[in-house]
Amino acid sequence: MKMKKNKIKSIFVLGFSFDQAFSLFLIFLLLLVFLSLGSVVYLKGKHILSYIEEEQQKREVLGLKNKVSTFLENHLSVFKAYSKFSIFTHAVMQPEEQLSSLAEFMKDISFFGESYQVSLVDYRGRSLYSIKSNPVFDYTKEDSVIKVLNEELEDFLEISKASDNAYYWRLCVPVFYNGKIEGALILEIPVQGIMFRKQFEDMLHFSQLKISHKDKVIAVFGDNVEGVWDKSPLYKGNNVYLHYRINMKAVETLYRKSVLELVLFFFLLLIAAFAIAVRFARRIFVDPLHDFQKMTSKLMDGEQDISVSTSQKIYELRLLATNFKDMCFSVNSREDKLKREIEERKKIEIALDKSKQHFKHLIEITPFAIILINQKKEVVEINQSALSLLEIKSKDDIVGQTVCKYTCDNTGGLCPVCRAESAIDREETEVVTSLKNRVPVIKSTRNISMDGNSFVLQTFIDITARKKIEENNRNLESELHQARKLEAIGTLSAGIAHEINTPVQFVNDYVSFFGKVITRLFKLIDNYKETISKKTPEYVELFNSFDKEINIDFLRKETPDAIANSKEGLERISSIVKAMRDFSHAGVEGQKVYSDINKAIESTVTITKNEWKYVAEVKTELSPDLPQVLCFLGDIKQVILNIIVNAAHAIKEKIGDEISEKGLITIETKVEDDDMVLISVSDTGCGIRPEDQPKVFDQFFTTKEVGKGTGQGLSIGYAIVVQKHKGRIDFETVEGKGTTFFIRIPINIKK
Amino acid sequence: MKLFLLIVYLFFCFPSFLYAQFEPKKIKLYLDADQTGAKTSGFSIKQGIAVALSEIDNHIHGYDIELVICDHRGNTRRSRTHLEEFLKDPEALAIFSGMHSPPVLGNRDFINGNNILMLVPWAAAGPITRYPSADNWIFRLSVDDSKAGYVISDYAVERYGIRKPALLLEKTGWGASNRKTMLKALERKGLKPATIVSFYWNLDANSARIFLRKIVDSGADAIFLVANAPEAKVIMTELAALPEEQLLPVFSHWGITGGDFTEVFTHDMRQKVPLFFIQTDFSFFSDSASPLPLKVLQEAQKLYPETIKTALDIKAPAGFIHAYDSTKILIAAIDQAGLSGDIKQDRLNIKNALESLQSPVEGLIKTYNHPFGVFAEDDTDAHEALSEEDFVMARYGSKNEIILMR
Repeated sequence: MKMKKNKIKSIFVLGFSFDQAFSLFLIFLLLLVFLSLGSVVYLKGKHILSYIEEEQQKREVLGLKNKVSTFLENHLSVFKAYSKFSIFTHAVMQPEEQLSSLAEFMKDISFFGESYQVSLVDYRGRSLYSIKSNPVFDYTKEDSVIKVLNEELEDFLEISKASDNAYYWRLCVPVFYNGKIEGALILEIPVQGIMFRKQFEDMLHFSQLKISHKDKVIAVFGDNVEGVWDKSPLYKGNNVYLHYRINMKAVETLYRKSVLELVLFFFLLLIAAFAIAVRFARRIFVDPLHDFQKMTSKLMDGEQDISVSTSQKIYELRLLATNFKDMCFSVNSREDKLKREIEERKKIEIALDKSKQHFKHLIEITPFAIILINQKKEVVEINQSALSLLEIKSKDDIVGQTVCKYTCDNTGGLCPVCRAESAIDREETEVVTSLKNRVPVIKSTRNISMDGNSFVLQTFIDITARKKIEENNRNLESELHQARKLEAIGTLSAGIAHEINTPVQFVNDYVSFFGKVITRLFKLIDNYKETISKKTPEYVELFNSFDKEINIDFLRKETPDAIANSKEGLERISSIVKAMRDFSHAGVEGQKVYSDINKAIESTVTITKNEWKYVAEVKTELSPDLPQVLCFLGDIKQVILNIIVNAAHAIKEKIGDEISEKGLITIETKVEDDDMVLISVSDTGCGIRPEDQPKVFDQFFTTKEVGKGTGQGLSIGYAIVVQKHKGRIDFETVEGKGTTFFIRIPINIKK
Repeated sequence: MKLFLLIVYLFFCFPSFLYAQFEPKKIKLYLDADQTGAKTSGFSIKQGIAVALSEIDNHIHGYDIELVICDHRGNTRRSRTHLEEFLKDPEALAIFSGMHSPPVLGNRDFINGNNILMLVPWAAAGPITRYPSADNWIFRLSVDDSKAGYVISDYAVERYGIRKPALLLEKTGWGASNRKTMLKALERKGLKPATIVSFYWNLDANSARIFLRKIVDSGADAIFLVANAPEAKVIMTELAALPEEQLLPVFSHWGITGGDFTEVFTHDMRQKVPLFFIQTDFSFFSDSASPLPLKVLQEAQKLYPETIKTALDIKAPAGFIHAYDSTKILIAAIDQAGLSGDIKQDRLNIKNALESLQSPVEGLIKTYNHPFGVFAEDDTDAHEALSEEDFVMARYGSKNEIILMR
């Protein structure tokens, strides 16, 4: 039920299928036919039926006439055959002799089982013999008979009135001997007798009939009915007519019955016609159209191998199929061509798209701020650099807006953005950002025309950095000096380390030797003391006094510790020297090399131990899978060193002199996003105050006491990471709880 | 006025009166024969009469003789009509009738009852001349069935050893009289026919085949045929079509010679089926040496230069011969009786003269001495000019000529 509803719904939504449409059309047509025919039958049926009945009667009359004609002609033929019998010849030649034989013969003469009056006459029409000789005719006075005997008529067939006033069909045929007429046979058939009762009865249901001869009524058949007589000759050329008139009451009864039957018949016929027509139409029209639909779908789906049958029975459909076949071929050809063109166009579009993207990207990434302004001073297009320059978050905030709303309060023309009235070439000026910061720029404007509209194209080059550089240049020399100093210190440290390392090495060896020697010396002393005491107890006392004097027990006790501490100290010297050497080993000068960051971190931790060892513990969680990174290693070490030192200072600032509560510095390394190495340095220090946070990477910004910080550590670190290594450096901080610095350096995987 | 009318009357009537006074007197001789079916015989009779009349220049005792030809076609009723016309004609002296017996037989009472003087050159039925009354007005010079049956039968039996003939007869009085005679003739020889078959006129081939089959099946060794030419043509043609072992010889009455029989039943067919028929004992071929036949033939040739060039051109010669001889006898009778102008009386006088002819008459068949007498119960041949000796069997030659089998 639901499906049916859906189907019906789909019919009204999607439209009719041809099949359904044709069926509906057919139903409509057949109903129309049914109604038309029904109307005609109802309205005109009586007239038609009357007409039909009249025609029927005419046909019946014609049929009757034909039957009468056939009957008479058959009798005439038989009669002619009889006339050739020898007995008749003989009888007309010698009647007296043959009378008895003739009588015998004629006794049995019958025509199609009926006996009629048959007479044999001589060459003058005198009767020789008759069977059923009642009524009596005098044939010598019958013109037709005489004409036959005189060879003026071949034979004849006419109506005759007998002495009893009855009418007869008279047939006369000559009797020949030696090719000459010697007499004639005459047959008299009563008119009433030959009328076919069955056919008459059928006709008499609807008609009244009568037969006339020369305007005299011979016979009347059927009940009297009203109407006009119609007449028709009953047999050729003998003035005998069949008259008839229709019984309209009987016709009307028949009409009612016929209408009912006809309506029923039409109804059944229409159902049958509908079924046949639907079946026929399905086969002839619908199926080919379905095939076309399927083929069209296939064609739409791009199927190329479509089998098109051209065996449709309808010429137009066959033509359509042929055309469709040609069309398939054309479409396929065109589609192939189109596909090729589309592919080429796609390639072009992709290339164009790429080009656009490249261009857009170029526009977007170009360091030049670009703004396109229309004549209403509304921003039409703006690139990322311009957004950054103007400190606007999104294009949506400015596109379509008057640029001054965001860039300045002054609309009087002072705003360099708005001053777009004329071409400007590389003018150094300032823009006011949405955050009201003033940014030094070099501005250029051009009036351009696109698609018939005038625009102003403005470009700005942010020269803040240059300005800073210019400002920094002034400190550059001192910085350079500092750097050189650092470099000299580094170089010196390396030399010192080398110089120290060697003596420390052998001092360490000697200290070890001294330790052993002292141990043995103490053992020797003990052995001497024991040996001498045993031989000279007196010296025991002496010896004790010596011991006391030199506090040998103290020595015995402390010396190993001293030596051990000396060795420890030497080892520390050795490791510091080694770390100094490693630290100072900054890689190949001026060139990035693949370096082990973990190792760099470890050496840096060591070298900075003096800074953190009293205030914090250092915990390293270095990823063993860290790849070598293409970098300026010395610079990276410098950055890490600065951050560790800052962390130690921050912890120290937090814990003050409470050495017992050491802080924790955690250093982690890991690979991030497969292309970056992340170095995070966390401390549990005092954190950074919010107001200081934006300035963290500013040069010469420091919160340390005067003389302790230069304010260059993190700014140099920023320059090293961001500018030299294209990495990122940022931080997260919670005031009073600590800070974590994140350094991200591109790996530049070694290929 | 009366005078004027008289003058007018005389003016118009006198010439006719004068003409009547000087018009040559005329007697008419009627010939009522079959000029249609057996027209050869009818024509032959006419020729015979004409030649005989020609010998006396168609004139006798001051009377021109006119021959009136009637065609009864073998139809009795038609013949009756002609007889009635004859009676109405005041100049009609005598009438020749033949061929065919039935018209004469059928009207015999009428003829005799109305004193119609009739000569029969061609009709063989026995009863024709045997009218049991003194008013017997029919005289025959022709084959008489009462003799023909014997002649045919004796010839077949004696010359060809026939023992079981089939009698094939037309269903007429003629056929019936022959049947009677032939049975008698056979009985006289101690024989009986194998079968007797009768047929109607207007015979069709199918019926002929049926009764011929019946005859063959009956074991007959010959056929005695009594038929006229129309039926004989059918019978003989169908007989010739039978297988050779079934073919039977045919001994026929002379009726077959009356028409175009020889044109249908040709010489080649006759080679298959032996055919003999009765004729009177004269033939232009057999008896051409005598002066009379020659004279007659010359007269005939003179009279019918287009049609008769030789004796062969006289078709159905029996008709010619009988008619010629009959006419000669009639002329002799007229000569003997004279003509009074009262036609009825003249008919009676001539009838009487015929029955008592004084002078012999030289005919083709023979010289007739008292050819006829007064008919009486004890002289049934009184009105027969020929006797059994005057009949002979004959056959057709290759040129359709009749060859007498003497």
